[in-house]
Amino acid sequence: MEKKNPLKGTLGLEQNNCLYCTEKIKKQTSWVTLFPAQPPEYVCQECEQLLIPVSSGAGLCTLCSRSLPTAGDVCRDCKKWEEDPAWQGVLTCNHSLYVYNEHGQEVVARWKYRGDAAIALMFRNELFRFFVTHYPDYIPVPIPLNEKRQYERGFNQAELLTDFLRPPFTGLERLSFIFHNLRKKRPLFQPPAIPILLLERMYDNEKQSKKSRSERFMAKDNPFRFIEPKNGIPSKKVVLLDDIYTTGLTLRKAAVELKKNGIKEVRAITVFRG
Amino acid sequence: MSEGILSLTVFLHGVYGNWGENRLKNNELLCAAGVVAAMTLSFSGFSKGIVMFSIFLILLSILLLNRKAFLILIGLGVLFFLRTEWVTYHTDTQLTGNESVLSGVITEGPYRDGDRAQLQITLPKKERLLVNLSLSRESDIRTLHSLSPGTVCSIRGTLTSPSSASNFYSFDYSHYLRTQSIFWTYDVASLDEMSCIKKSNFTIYTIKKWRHFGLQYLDQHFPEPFKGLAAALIFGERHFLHPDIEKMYQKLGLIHVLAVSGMHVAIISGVLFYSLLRIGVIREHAETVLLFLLPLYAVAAGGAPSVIRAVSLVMTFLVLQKMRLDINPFKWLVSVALILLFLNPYYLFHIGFQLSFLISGSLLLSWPIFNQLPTKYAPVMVTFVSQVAAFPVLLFHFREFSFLSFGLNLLIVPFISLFVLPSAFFLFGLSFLPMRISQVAIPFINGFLELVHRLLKSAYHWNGLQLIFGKPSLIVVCMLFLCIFWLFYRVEHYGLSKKIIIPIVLATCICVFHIVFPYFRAVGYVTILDVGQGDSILIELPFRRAVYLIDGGGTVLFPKEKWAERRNVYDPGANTVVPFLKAKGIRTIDKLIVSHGHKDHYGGLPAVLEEIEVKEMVYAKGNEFEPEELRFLYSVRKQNLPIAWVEDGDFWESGKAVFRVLWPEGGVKSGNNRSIVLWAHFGGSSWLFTGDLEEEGERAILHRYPMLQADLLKVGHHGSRTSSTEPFIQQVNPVAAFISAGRCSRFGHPHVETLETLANQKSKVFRTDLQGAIQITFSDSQVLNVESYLSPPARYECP
Repeated sequence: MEKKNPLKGTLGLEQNNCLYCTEKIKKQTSWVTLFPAQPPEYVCQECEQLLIPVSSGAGLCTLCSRSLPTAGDVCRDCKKWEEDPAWQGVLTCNHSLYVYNEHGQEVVARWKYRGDAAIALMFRNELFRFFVTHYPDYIPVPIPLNEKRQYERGFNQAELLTDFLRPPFTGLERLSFIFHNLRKKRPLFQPPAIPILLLERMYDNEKQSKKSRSERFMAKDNPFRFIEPKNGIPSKKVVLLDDIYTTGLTLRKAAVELKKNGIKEVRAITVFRG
Repeated sequence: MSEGILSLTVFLHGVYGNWGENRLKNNELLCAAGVVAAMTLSFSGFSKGIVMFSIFLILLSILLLNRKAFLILIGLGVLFFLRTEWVTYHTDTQLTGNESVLSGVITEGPYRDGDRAQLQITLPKKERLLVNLSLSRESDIRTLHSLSPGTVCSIRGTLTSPSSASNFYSFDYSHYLRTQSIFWTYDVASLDEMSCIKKSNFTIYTIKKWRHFGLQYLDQHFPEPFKGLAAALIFGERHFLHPDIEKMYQKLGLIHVLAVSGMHVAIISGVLFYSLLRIGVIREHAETVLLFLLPLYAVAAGGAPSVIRAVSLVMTFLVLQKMRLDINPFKWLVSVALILLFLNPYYLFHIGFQLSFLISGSLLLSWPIFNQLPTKYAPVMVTFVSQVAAFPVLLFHFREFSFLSFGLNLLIVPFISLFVLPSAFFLFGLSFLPMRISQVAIPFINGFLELVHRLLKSAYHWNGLQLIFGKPSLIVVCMLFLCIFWLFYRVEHYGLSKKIIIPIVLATCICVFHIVFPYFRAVGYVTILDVGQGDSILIELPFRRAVYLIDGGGTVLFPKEKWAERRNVYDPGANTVVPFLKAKGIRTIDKLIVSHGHKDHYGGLPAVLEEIEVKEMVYAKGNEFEPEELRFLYSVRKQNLPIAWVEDGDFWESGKAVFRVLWPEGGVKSGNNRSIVLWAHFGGSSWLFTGDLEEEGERAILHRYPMLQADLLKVGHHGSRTSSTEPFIQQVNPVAAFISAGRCSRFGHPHVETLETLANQKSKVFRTDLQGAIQITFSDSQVLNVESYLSPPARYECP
């Protein structure tokens, strides 16, 4: 089950050049960078700013992170999901980090389809920060690829994301765990979450992006199958990780399979909101 | 507790277990801290705190740094440790102290103050001497003008070693001179003892000579106070600044504007560069010219650390631009600091060095903060950052802080650096031309400056927002620095939000704790200060229930001709008593007891009254007063200070402490025999402070109080044989006797007879002339400890 992580050994390294534009990263010493616990920088300031956080708009759908004109609302799609008894409450909520705009599409194309696995590092700090502040006691579970696809691509993008929640951590990240432990009065000798591959994908008829929305909704059969881990499951709460949230079908299908096997709550973090 | 340890182990485990690839390549701050730790280790020996600090640093760097950076840090530490050891070992005098004729080159000065001139000479073996030259005639002033740096002189005089500190928290003059590798002062009786030849070949002294002539020119052609400011701003020389003005700037936290700093260097090189371009020099050549001229300017501006910092930063900037290299400015600043420290480890103690690098470093680090804010807030933010960064260092050196300083800085810094500085340069340059512009402009600017100084003066005299802080310990300083770092970290990270309140609150708590700590201390102190020939005794009761000061020292001045009057006169009140009170954090004195109307007892008190709030003055009742004494009393009256007139039988209490006045009785003539004699009972013992009471008075007191006894006695009249008569000492029967006397006074105090009387009585004698200040610690029930500043006692011989 342990697969080789293509980014192993590069996580904590200070990058001299931007992973995206390969220009030299300008480092200005300041009070923050002088504090010896900063997460390493992977991309330069300019490239960082090209990614637009979802929260920059007026409001977000509380269920799927879609930007809405007013805050605290639920979008039409999500209402539909929640009205359908088959999908109701399966996925508690999804949080996306960035808007899937043109730049986002370019990043994803380079990352997934042209095999630039390391580019995923540019999401690491933000993903980590979000995970620790919101879901520190959830088990991160990547959406799996089926074997054939993974062989073609060489890596599973969701698995790369879950790997960012493993050690090594910087001092500040360690500290945030410790503060969390102190607050919850439950000391942990390791990070609260160890990613577990709870799911596998049995088949993948066609590439998803080539299907239309209605076709995908028609697919009644669930490609995901639950794997019982050897040492049991440490928590009944799970957070799913994936690259893009478009309709939410994949995540929900995975959530259904998890819920069938005794998981109480399923949430999701996705990098882009399509 | 156990949870804390647990989380610590978790933290260490985490850092150790998984950090491997995450460690820092290097961290400039840690490097600088390591070097400072190594140097202090070398300077101050193996004091516990510093060893702990070094161990902490080593642990931290093992945890945080990768192996290469750790080795660099350790290497730097060892290098600087060895360098400091080498320098302290090798800076030692080559003179025996008996030489009476010495010859060398004048390197600084001469600067005249009244009938005294000071200059520095360098002996052939590179040792430097501070020459104190006494002038006997007014015509000597002109002869003095012919001396300048570069002149070779052969001088007859006597070597004396400079006085080292003899009071707690006091300024150590000999250490100060030592950091400039000066080990002796050379007293020269008159100008006739010097024979000098001028040399004309071009050396480093030529620039110094021009500087000296420039200063003299300023001195003769410019009026006060513009003269002093111009000398400080153009040449980095504060000798021409009136001591009162310098003190005012210092107390208001403005002293840094009078130092030649980065601003000057920027303005000068900017103007020069631009004018070179205007006259048709190409850019590259203009840069080269600047590169050659800047070091000369550093010498001309006096070569203080702040100048060297600014000049070397501008120069490296130019060189790097020439070489098209891109380098991190903060790294450069740290490197320049380390290079300067390596060249002269004594810079570590230099206030100018500390402030200059601290402030410029903080400003560099705060760049992202400035960028976050709208441009109109920039001056406020720059002032805020530099004030906050300098705060702990200023507290450590000056022990007080003015809340006005922030606002005044906002006003005065632009005024001085954008108005006074350019006009000083401009007018100084113009005054050489045969034009009348400067004659017209100088009085105008001078008038404006006087107006500003008058405003500053009223701020200076308004003590409302002046906080006497007390000398913070190094731990308090370090904690304040950590808070400040945290504050700026948060400001940069979160902007000006609620998040920055925690570090501010924490820093305030540390300050408040430091300030109120004496009020919760169950011990009290009696300190007999070494004010030379004179008395000054401070009594602090436990929990600081009350603070009493008996006398304030003072020097007796003889009237002089106008030209011979000095501006800088040693005043034990301002130089010893006030710094001591400030270091102790004493803001109010409950009773100021003036034992009697002699200058060596009240002379220093005007300085005390000016800086510290006194609730009441206690003075002996009498019918007639000496004229000088009256003048003092009038000046006290003017300040609306109530005076309690006391005589035999008056008493007061404070908690368990009892104070009773035994003398004077009515109708005694003013003078020693009208000293207030104070008997007290506190700290489980009885005390007797006798002022300058002489035989006659002692007899009268014994007649009234035949059973008078005291455990601790302040011996009367500096240990003179005219006091402390045998019957009196036998009756009082002190366990310990304290003599406050100066070294080599013309009265020869303390006298052998007194010492014998005390020895016969088997009293333990403490002398300020030998032991420096003496501090007695006591609790409510007993005397705990007697500690003298100089131990073992100093030895001295009088000519």
